[in-house]
This record gives sequence, structure tokens and C-alpha cells, in this order.
Amino acid sequence: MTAPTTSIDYAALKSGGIIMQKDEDFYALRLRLPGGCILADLLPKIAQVAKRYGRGEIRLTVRQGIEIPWIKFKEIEAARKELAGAGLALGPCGQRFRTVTACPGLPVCRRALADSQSFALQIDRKFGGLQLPHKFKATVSACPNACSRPLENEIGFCAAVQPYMEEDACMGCGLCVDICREKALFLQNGKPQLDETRCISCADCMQSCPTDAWKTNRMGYAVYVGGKNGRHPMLGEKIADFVDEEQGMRIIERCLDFYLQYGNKRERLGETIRRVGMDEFKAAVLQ
Amino acid sequence: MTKELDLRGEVCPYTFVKTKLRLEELDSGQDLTILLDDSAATANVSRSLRNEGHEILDLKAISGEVWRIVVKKA
Ligand code: SF4
Ligand code: SF4
Ligand code: SF4
Repeated sequence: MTAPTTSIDYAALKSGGIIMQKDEDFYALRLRLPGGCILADLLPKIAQVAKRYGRGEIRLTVRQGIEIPWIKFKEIEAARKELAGAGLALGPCGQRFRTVTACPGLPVCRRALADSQSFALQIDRKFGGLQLPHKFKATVSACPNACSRPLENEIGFCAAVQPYMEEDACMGCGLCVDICREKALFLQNGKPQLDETRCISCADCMQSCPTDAWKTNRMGYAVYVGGKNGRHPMLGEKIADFVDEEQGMRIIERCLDFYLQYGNKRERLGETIRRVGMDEFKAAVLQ
Repeated sequence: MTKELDLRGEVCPYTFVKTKLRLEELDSGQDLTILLDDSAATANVSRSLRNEGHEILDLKAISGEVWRIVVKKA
């Protein structure tokens, strides 16, 4: 085999985002788009690169990313530079902290309780691309509907608001009782009562009340760890409730420390936790 | 006389779209009575009305599934 004539930026290659296709002459470039959000102004650049270096084809990944396939080996560097020039970085692949996904959240989704996009960006900036024992996925959802699948990621954040009732403000219309899908509310003497064992902190009651009688008791993210999909899917387990972004960042950091210390090569976080023990994991992460 | 808007059988977001159109025909300070047959739609419409600055004068279930909102146009 002859050596390629273009000089490849191996540092860039190592950081990932260049994926060999079935036919070794061709590669797909993966873009780093935290939260699956991209400015419309950048779309023509992606189209241009796909047409100039690929076959005019653009693919959407299941994790909110964009990939441009059919880039010839010798042209990877030129295509990468052209994308980088427009501010489009390549997204991590392989044994790394992958691009963070997120649901639309505030201010787009009507149900949203948090700005999932900005938190995802913050996580991605700090941890995205880190080398780890195996792939590591993180996501942020802005309400318990969990649209970005926090239970199927190594670490998943899911915003929640626990309500409490200010009885004087309630006019007893019963709408919130009807709205609560968890049957966590029932009327007693004409006023709703909250069954905390059933409440999942979705805040539907708060958002439905015409007199704002429901107020915020606690709010923040629930944290799930160890979820994954693929050959042997596992659902993540909840380890914390109502954490803010700062606490969330610390939890991720300790989680990665634990994973780097105990994780075997090619072992996903959930498997490491199962092998080492959830109690040990929690003790390390929730100090 | 209060105007009435019967939205039974309508689904979101048409419930609010129709409410909005109807409110446009009213003068500021006039009342509108809205009938809906779904609690989620009732919550959605009343929330949207409040977001737009209108005042909810009354909201209640008037029979099994039927909800009635009385709103005062801002
Ligand atoms: S998780 Fe909640 S806030 Fe996020 S998109 Fe789904 S419904 Fe909207
Ligand atoms: S927060 Fe959600 S689950 Fe809890 S009482 Fe309100 S509507 Fe029901
Ligand atoms: S929706 Fe508000 S006013 Fe109506 S019963 Fe519930 S808390 Fe009371």
C-alpha cells in the first residue's frame, strides 16, 4: 500500500469523528452538534462539503448528529478543514465521552422545566471527547417525559419540579386533579391533596392551575446512571434528585473518576457499576 | 350578554386558535364563555389565555367531562 499523499492531522484523527466505511477508501465525517442544534446559516456549508467531497448525501444519526459519508481518504483533511473554517467541529466516536444530546427544553417545549440545551452545551464543553474505557453517553431532558432518553445513557439528567399547595389560592375547581396522570392528587374537603408516593414531579398540576395555587417546593435534575442500549440494553438507575447544574457537573466528574479507576477496557459504565457495586459507586460519586 | 364558544370535540391546538380568533371579535373588558370536553385542553387554553394577559373569571367542571372557562378580554 502506498502512503497517502495528503498530510493527515493525526491529532484531529485521534479526537474522532472520522469513521471508516465498509469500503476502506471511504469515510464518514461526524459533526459535533450538542443538543442536535445547528444554525441555519451553517447548513449550506455542510451541503457544500457533502457535494464537493462526498456524494451529496447527508445522514442523521440517532443521537441528533449529522454525518457526511463517502469522503475519500485523501480528502478527509481538506473536508475537515473546510468544516472547521465554518466553526463545525467533528464529533467524538469510539471510546470517548460522546456529544451530549438534549431535548428542546426551554424556551421551546411547552412542558419544559429547564434549559436542557444550555446544560447539555456546558457538559459537552467540559467533558466531550474525553478518552474513557468505553463509549460514554450523556443527555439532558427538561421534564419527566424524558424525550431524550436519560435512562438509556451512561448519565442522564431529567428535570423535575416538586409542587406544594398554597391552599388560600386554590378555588377548588379540581382541574389539577383531573390533569395529574399519576393519580397523585385527590380532593379532600374541596381542596386537592398530594400523595407524594405517586408524584413524579412533572409540574403538570402547576401548569394547569388557573390561580397559581401550586408553588415550587424543590426543583432540579434527577440523575440516572449506567443506562445503555445496543446488544445488551440496560436501564439507568436513579442516584440523585433535584440537583442543580453545578452539582450535576460535579457528579459527572466523580463518575468519570470512578469509571477511569475501576472500568475495564471496553466495559460500559453500567457494567462497571454492576461488577463493582452500586453502593461503592454511590459512595464515590455522591460524597 | 356573554358570548359563548363551544369547543367540545375540538383538539389542541385548534382549541386555542379558535379561542384567539373569537376573542379578536370582542371588545376589551367583554366576557367569553368557553366550553371544552377535555381537562388537558382546558388547562392548555386557560394557560394560553393567561399568558396573553386575559383574566380567567371562572373555571369549573359543569358536568362529567365538560369544562367551562369564563374569560374577560384584556
Ligand atoms: S422531555 Fe419534556 S421538555 Fe423535553 S421535549 Fe420532552 S416533553 Fe418537552
Ligand atoms: S407534579 Fe405531576 S405527578 Fe405530581 S401531583 Fe403534579 S401533576 Fe401529579
Ligand atoms: S387547579 Fe388550582 S384552583 Fe383548581 S383545584 Fe387545582 S389547585 Fe385548586
